[in-house]
Amino acid sequence: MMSSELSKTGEGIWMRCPRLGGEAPLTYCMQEAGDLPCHRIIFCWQPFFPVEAYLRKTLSPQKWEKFADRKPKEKIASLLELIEESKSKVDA
Amino acid sequence: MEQTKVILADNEIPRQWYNILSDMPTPMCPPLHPGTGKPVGPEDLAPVFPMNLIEQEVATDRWIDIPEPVLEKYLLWRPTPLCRARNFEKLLGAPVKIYYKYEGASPPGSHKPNTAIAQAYYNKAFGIKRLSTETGAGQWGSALSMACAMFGLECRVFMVRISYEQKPYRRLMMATWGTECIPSPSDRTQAGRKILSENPDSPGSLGIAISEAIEDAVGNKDSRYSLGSVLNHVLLHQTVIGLEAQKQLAQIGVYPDVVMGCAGGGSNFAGISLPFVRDKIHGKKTSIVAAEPASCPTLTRGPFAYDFGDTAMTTPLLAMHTLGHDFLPEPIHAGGLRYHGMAPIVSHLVKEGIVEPRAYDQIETFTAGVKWARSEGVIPAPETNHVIAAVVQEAERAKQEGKEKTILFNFSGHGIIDLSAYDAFLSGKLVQHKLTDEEIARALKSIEGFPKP
Repeated sequence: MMSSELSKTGEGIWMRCPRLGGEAPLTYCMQEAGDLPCHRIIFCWQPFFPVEAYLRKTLSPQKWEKFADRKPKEKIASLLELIEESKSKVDA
Repeated sequence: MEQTKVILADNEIPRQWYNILSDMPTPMCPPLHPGTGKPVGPEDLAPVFPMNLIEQEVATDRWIDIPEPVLEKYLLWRPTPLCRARNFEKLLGAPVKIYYKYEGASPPGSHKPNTAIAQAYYNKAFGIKRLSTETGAGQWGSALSMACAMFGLECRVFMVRISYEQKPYRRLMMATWGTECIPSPSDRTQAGRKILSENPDSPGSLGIAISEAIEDAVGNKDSRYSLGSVLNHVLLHQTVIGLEAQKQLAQIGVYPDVVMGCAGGGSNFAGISLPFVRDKIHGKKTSIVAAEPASCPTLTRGPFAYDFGDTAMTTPLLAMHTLGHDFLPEPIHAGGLRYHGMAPIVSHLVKEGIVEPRAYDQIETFTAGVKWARSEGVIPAPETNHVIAAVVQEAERAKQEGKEKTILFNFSGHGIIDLSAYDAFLSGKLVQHKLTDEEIARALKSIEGFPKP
C-alpha cells in the first residue's frame, strides 16, 4: 500500500498525532514503531474503540509482550543509542 | 482608546537567556548512558552536537549571554508583541484579562526559530558546515532551514513521509530557504534503506526520521544534528519569550496569576514559563499550567488520565493503560506529559509540583481555536489550540469562582500552513466520538492487507 494511499484510508477516523504534529489514520498508528504499533496508540485511540482488545487479538503473544513491555526512554538515552548504532554502521 | 499591544524597542530585547537549572529547588537526575549506566559525558554527545552547545546543555549559570550575531537575527522579528485579547475576553464573558505573546510573528510562523537561530550560530562558530534534523509536519524543519540559510549552513531535513505527502507547503518553505528536504524513510541512510527493503511503501515515522538524521550527522565530520525541543539548551534559548513578556508586563504594571503554554516537547511552554517559574520558586503565587494533548472528548467519555508518579518514565506505558483504561477521573485532570518526547526540565517541575499539567482533547482544542480565530483574527497553529483551550477553561473557573484573574499564555504559532488540520476538524474527519461498530469495522478494514505487526 502506497503511503499516499495509506493517507486516504480510514476516512472519518483520523487522529491528530501529537508526535507528528499532523493528522494520521489508524493505519499509521498501527505500524508507527516498525513491527509494532505506536506506543501511544492505546492512549490515543482507546476512547474511541477498543484498540487494546484488538491488539491483544491480532498481535502474536510475543509481539504483544514486546509492545506491552516497552519502556519509553529519556530523549538523551535514545539519542545515545542512535549515535552508537550510527557509529557502528559508519564504521562497518 | 484602550491599549491592545505592548511593544518593546529593539534595544530592549533581553541580552541573556535564563537557565532554570540554577534555581531548581531539587537537583535533576543526570541522564545515564544506556550502555554504561554512567552519567552522560560531553564526549558521548560530541558526535551529534558541537561542544559549545553541549556546554550549554550542562551549564548551571543562571544567565547566559545571547551572542550578538544571534541578537541581530532575533531582531528580524523580535521582540514579539505582547497582546491583550480583548475580543476573546468579551466572547468568554469571564472576569479575566488575557495577555499573550505572539510568537507567530517569526518568518516561519512559530517560536521554533528562537532556538534554531541559536543552534545554527553555535554550529557555525564551531566550524560545522551542515546540519541535519528530522521533522514531523515541518514546523521545526522550516525553522532550522531559515536559520541555516541565515548563517550559511547547509541543511538536510528528513521529513516523515506521510507528512511530506500531506504537507507540501512546509517542505516548499524549506526548499525556498535552500534546504534539502527528504522524505523518510529514504535511500540516503542505512536505516532508511533497511526500512524500505522491508516495506517499500512505509509511511515513515518520527523514530525512523530521527535515525536517518543522526546517521547522516555521525557519518560526516563536518555535520551535526539539531533537535528542536526537549533538551536543556533548547529550552534555554526559548526563555527569551518569557523574559520579554516580563519586561512588557512590567511596563503596564501587570503580573499574571496564571502562566500557560502548550506542551508537546516542552520548548514553547518552557519559553514563556521558566522566567515566571523562577519567580514562583522565590515566592510569587502564580499558577503555571502546561496544556498537553489528550484524545478523549470530555463530553462523551470524560478525560483519560493516568497518574504522574513515574516521572523517571521507567514504567511501561501499557501497564498503566491496562490498569487504568476504564478509570474515569474527575473532569479536570492531571495530564500525562510522560511520553518520552517531553523535556526532562518540564517533567521535573511537574514532579516538584511547580507546574500543573492539564490535558485537552483534539475536538475541544480545535473548538477553542476556531473561537479564537473568529474573535481575535489569527488562526492558531493546532498545537497552540491546546493552550487556548486551557485559557477557556481557566476563564470558566474564574467565572464560577467569581474571581478576577490575569492570564498570560504563549501563542506559539499561527496555523496558516496547517489549514488541512482545520479542514479535518471542520469536515468532521477527526475522530470525535466513540466509534460505532460499523465505523470500527471500516477502520479495521483499512488495515486489511497492511503489513501486520
